[in-house]
Amino acid sequence: MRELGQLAIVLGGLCCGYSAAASAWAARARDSRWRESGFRALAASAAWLALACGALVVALLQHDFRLEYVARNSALATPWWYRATALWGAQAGSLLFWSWLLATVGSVAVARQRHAHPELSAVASTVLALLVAFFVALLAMVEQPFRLLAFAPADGKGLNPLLEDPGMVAHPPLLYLGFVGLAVPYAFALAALVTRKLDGSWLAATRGWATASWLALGAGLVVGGWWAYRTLGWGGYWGWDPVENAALVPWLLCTAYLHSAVVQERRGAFVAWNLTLVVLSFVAALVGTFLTRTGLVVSVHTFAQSEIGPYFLAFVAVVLAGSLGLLAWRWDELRAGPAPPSVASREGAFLFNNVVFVGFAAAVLVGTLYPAVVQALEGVQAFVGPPYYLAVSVPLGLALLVLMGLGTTLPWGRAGRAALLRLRFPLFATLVVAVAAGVVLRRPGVVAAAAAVAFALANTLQAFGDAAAHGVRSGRGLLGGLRDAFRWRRRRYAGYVVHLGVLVMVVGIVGSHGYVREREVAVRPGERFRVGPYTLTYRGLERGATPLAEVTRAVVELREGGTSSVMQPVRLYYPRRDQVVSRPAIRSTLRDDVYVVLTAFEGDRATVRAWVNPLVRWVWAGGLVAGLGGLLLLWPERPGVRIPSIPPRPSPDGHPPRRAEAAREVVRALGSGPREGSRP
Amino acid sequence: MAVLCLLALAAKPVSAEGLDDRVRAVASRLMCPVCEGRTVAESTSQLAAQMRAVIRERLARGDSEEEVLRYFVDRYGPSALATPPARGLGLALWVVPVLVVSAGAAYLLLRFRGSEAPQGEEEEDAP
Repeated sequence: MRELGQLAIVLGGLCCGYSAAASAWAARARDSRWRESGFRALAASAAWLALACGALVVALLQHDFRLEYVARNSALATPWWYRATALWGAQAGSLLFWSWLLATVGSVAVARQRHAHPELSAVASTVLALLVAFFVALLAMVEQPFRLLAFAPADGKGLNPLLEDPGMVAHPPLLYLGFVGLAVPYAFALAALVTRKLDGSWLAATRGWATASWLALGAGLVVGGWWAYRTLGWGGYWGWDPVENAALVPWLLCTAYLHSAVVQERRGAFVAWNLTLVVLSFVAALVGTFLTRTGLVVSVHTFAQSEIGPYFLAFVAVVLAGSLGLLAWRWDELRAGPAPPSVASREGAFLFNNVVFVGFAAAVLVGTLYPAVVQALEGVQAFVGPPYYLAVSVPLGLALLVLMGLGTTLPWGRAGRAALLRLRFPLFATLVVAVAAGVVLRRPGVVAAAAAVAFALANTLQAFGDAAAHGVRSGRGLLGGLRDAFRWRRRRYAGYVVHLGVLVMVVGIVGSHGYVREREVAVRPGERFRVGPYTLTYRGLERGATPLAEVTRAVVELREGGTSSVMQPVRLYYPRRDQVVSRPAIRSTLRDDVYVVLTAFEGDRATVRAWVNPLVRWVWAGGLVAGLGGLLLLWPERPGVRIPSIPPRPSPDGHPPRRAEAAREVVRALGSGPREGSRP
Repeated sequence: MAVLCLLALAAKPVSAEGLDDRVRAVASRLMCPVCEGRTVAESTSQLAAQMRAVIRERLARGDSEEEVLRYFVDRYGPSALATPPARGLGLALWVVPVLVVSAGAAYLLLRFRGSEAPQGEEEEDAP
């Protein structure tokens, strides 16, 4: 297995190198045979890397403790599914997995576009192959997953116990998929710059990839929060940890891009801006991987540290400088394009949302890198913790909610009187909610959030109402109208579903940040204490053992109203890794979570921390809705459905030609339109 | 406007904040010295538990939140604070986002104003 895996990595690297050279030559000489050869080599490298991943998984499953990676990250007692997923449980394995994903995603993307956009694909293939080649070089020379130990131990150390959780099975692959997927728009954007095909075909060709990466990143972030909440035992789900931030930054930039891409499709404007956003998103994703993988910034994610830091830093610098240099070189050709007619328009809202998202990303990035910079310049330790991020994210978040509402209701072009009047209902709803919140909730921050959510929600619901009303008017019925909306304006209405999910999440986030109750008490068996509206009784400790850990379990009785239930927070000690893990006990309802942690014990006395976290379930529920909306965005158009016939609505001055053009653009973006270019 | 007035009304200080909430507020402004990048409020370590106990004791004794923070800064140095003070390099934390947002907004406003033309009305929605 070991020899096979190592061989596969080397062959995969050679294929990448060949692919980069062949594709580059093909792009220069416009030679379709070299082009095809380069594509095939990229696919072959994906296959070799898949084989290497498979070899490592087999070694993990077979307890091949001669391998350092296997001995460090699994044990005889580790269940088979966690042994298999230990592939991405630590440094070398996750780099291998990353490389394989990148090669696979890259070759699929190139294969799909090679007939429609042969020249773009050739350059994109070069870029992607070079990216994979860098990671494979790291695998072959610095961070070798198949390195042998001098002596094979009888048993391994086991996976980091924090990672033995269903959340960990899904969280890293989703994030990696998101990071890797961003390489596709990036590669095609560079290809557009190199080939001077700046007409937006690169954008239409990679919109789907950008959306998919954005969805994977978002899902990864939510799953990561869910994992942290259930595993780390500090009462929350988002700690503004550097590595969480590192995944948040590309997500924020990508969200901005998905909106500004619509403006480019619609207007042909802001081309340079979109290229810049795509470059920045991908570089942010690389920085994210870099931070996760090198332990440059101290964080809960220091599962894996190694000596790849300097290589990676140099790589990121080359990618950033090269891309921005290319942008600067072509700047004259990136005409600013026609500016939209008015601020009071949908494109106005979209572009201001870009400004806020980029500002948000900048704040998170500065906060994340600050400790490292201070360490380097002044030699002292510094931290940037939650208070900073909360101070930044509250005003920016409020601005985003208001823009979300405006962007939904304002029309393209310029909002006239009639369009502005359509803000009546949302404004009225906002006023009502603000008054009610002011009376009931009283806290200014929460009242502002409630008003902003109400505004965005009312605008979104009004859009769904319009669709339903149109269905009724045209005799297709209420549901028929909604179905039409999703059929003919899928992207827009799927986007609204995402917005609804985000709004539900915001409610949960505000509730669980604004109204936490917390108690920490030292108790003897039989003693009671209160937290929020609940009474908890500590009954005593139970001790036990698993094959890998010593287990201490506190028995705590929770009384609410007339009923009582038992909660059992656990403290585990893993002698082989000398690691202590506190697993919380959680009683969760839509109203609030009771979250109990055993922080310390002595004899039969215990120190127990208990939280009441309101509305946490709303965060997960909202994430689910947003994820479904994201899937709807990606859902392919049915074959046979072509240019959408826009439902007739009285409009004094429509622009039929532009409408048809926009519709064609959409169809092309969804990948079902007539293919341009010729098949060889 | 009405919303703003309401906000101003609602901004009255919340009275009778519980001691628990104040402990939590102080603890979330301090970094746990022995853990990796967690605040004292979040950390599950023994030291953080002791620090929370000290915070509680001092607040109950009548110390202000700032005084308690200063106590820990004197013992553990300025790196005990979860947010660097807004001077020197720490200023960058606040300046950068403000600069990005205001520069972006100013650019957009200029571009839109520059294109303010009489023609060009609402357009029918395309998907």
